[in-house]
Amino acid sequence: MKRRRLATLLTLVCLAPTSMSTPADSELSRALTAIHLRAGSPPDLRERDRAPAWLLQHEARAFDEVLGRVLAAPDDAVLVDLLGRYRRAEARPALLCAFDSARAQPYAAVGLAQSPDPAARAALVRLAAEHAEPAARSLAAEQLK
Amino acid sequence: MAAASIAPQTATLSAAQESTLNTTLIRVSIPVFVAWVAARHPGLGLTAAHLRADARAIFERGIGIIAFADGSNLRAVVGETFRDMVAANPAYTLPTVVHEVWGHNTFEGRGNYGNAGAAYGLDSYDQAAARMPGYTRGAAGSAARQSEIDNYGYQETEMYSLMREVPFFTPNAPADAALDSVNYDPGPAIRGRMRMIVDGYEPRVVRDLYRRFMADPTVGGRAMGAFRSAVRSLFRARDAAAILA
Repeated sequence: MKRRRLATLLTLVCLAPTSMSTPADSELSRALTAIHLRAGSPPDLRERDRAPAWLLQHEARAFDEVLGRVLAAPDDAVLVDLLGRYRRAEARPALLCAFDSARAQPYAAVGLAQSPDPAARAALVRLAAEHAEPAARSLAAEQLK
Repeated sequence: MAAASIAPQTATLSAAQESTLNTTLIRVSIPVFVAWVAARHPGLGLTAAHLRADARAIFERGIGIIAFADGSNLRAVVGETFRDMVAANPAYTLPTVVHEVWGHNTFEGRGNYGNAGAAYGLDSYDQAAARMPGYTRGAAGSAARQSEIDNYGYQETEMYSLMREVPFFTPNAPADAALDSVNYDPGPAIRGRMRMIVDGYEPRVVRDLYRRFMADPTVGGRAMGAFRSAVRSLFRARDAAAILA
């Protein structure tokens, strides 16, 4: 019963728009492209590594866009990881959505654990106890240590 | 962008997970992928020797990395994302494998990145910078020199490597939407590279690059179409026509 309630709650939270437009802020757009580079040779990595640093430093310009994108595409592990690094209470619903994505789950769990929001930790406690998947429960429990 | 970098991973990969991943890659993903490429794209001549499983190395490079070039070898190192994509459809991983095995290695020659003659943009920059009063080129391997190389020598080799991806791009099936952030159309990325060149140079550089690509038998058809499309979207009609003349 508890697990069904949790699943219903997550479904309600995760209903979100499915497409995002390109932001008018060209620097932001460039950083969001760079962070998704999928080829990992040294020059690619150097460019890719600069992107999260920029996105974190320019939180006022980037946070809402990152949050919106994670709500729209919770499988995007790269952005889920970034969202957690902001350590913002507003990120909790999106991180909870991402926790149900196999690709993003480890990063969502870390994000919830890093959050200063007591509700994020409480959510992690609930996931550790009630999630339908044993692997997800143990992943959540691990972050509570 | 700021030069500061942050840890590429917040998650962990246990030794057991690493071992399981590598076993799956070696026994399943790589053979499935190689057989698929041999059947669909025999002209590439791709074999298992072009791929190396190393889940830990991929994990440590960052989230969502599909492959990276194995030193100066004609070989791509692959890990978890490659496994996930091959399981969904081997076609999804092919563009990045081509990028890493035959992209940069073909454009500038193996192990030649950053050397004189490897990239038109970097050569142009170096010639211009040498005439700037007070300029001293950073020592080879220094952070200052690496930054110059990445800013001025990287865009065209990356654009070429993305163009090599174009003929092999297969969009995700709706059921594979979870892979949207890793399997994306290289076309907009080509436009993004061109935007950076336009920001750093004058349009003539794009025209010269176009001529260089036109003379290159390894990029044609849809890849050149993506280049032309990027030119038309970034320049006024008259300038675009002059570049593509």
